[in-house]
Amino acid sequence: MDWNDRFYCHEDVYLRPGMSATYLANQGRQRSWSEGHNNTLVGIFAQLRPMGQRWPRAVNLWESTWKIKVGALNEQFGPNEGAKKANDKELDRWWRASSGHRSGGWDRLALPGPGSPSLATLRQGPPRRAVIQQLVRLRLGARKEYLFWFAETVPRALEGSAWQAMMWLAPLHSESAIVYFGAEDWNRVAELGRALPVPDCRWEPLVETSALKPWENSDYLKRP
Amino acid sequence: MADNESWVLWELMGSTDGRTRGSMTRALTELPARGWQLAARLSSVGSDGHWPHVMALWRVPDDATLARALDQGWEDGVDEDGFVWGKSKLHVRISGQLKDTDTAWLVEYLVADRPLSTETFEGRAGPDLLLAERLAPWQGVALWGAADLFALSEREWRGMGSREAKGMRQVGGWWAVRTPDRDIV
Repeated sequence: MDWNDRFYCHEDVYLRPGMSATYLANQGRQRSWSEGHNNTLVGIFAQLRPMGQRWPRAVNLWESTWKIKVGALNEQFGPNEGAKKANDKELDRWWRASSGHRSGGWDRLALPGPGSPSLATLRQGPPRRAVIQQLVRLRLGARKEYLFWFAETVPRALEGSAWQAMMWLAPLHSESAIVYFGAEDWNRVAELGRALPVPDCRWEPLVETSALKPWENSDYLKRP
Repeated sequence: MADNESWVLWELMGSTDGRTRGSMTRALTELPARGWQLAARLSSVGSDGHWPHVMALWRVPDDATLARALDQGWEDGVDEDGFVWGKSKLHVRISGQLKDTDTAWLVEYLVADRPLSTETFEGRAGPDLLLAERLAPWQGVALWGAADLFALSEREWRGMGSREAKGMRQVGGWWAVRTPDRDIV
């Protein structure tokens, strides 16, 4: 591990009723930390109803490095070192103003799985606005093998289909993986079902699937 | 079985502040038409599962109708103030169908060590309806029906449920009834 290694934060956010669109725009524009400590926004998404868990619910996905992420966390939660954006009143004001949009959430610090594309790679090719997220809970000790299998098998299985394996992440503190699939539109969900290979049952995969709609200003949709 | 037909199971969790099984069911039946067919309106029985809690089983006839619903985003006419949380799973039908004359069911979520199929219950009595998740086909739902809760009890006594089915890894279920027309809490 290195301070400059790629590092992710996956925020699973419980929204208040009718607040999906408001939340995405408010959160998407917020940068609460000092220059150099802000994470890069991969995307902000809200769950759609044909597939989802505990909606209304959103996902914020941030890409950074260990150094940037831990620096930001230290600025917000560490010992008082004097006036900085995240420990003066600015974050506090935004936090209180946002309380009408969401009630709480569950965050996960995560590493990229082997070969998982970076944000820079996701910004190549056509923008993929139809996104499927799968939270895969696994038997203790099975995740490493699962992620290598995913990297070796799934992107190849989806070649020639409308779908792309976008990212596969390993949360630091649970035996699970978070994987993403994207397509330009929602016209061929059944095709994804036919193409996806079935993981080894010895890993005891337990999957929660969600259909996600991105905030239109999400960075992964921008093109250089 | 139409390859591009989907079945979507919704769960809505209510609360004791007035978001009742009756009001949640009315909200479901009054949703704007979008080509989905409401195949079943179920209320979980409070002594065996979440409460107050309802489910809706939707038949989505083809991919285009599913895509239109996804394109609508979250502005699909659902009143999010009318429940505490919702949950939905996209399925394909493996076998069976619900009987119009049934009013009570055992609903089970299944996790198997292989994709659910017509072989899952081979050689034994199977559920009335077996669904597999479209994007995780080793997971699914089984519905076992009966004319009423008395008949469902008798079916339980004779042996009902998916625990002994081939390759089953996890099974969790609860009783539900067809939501009656009168308002129920």
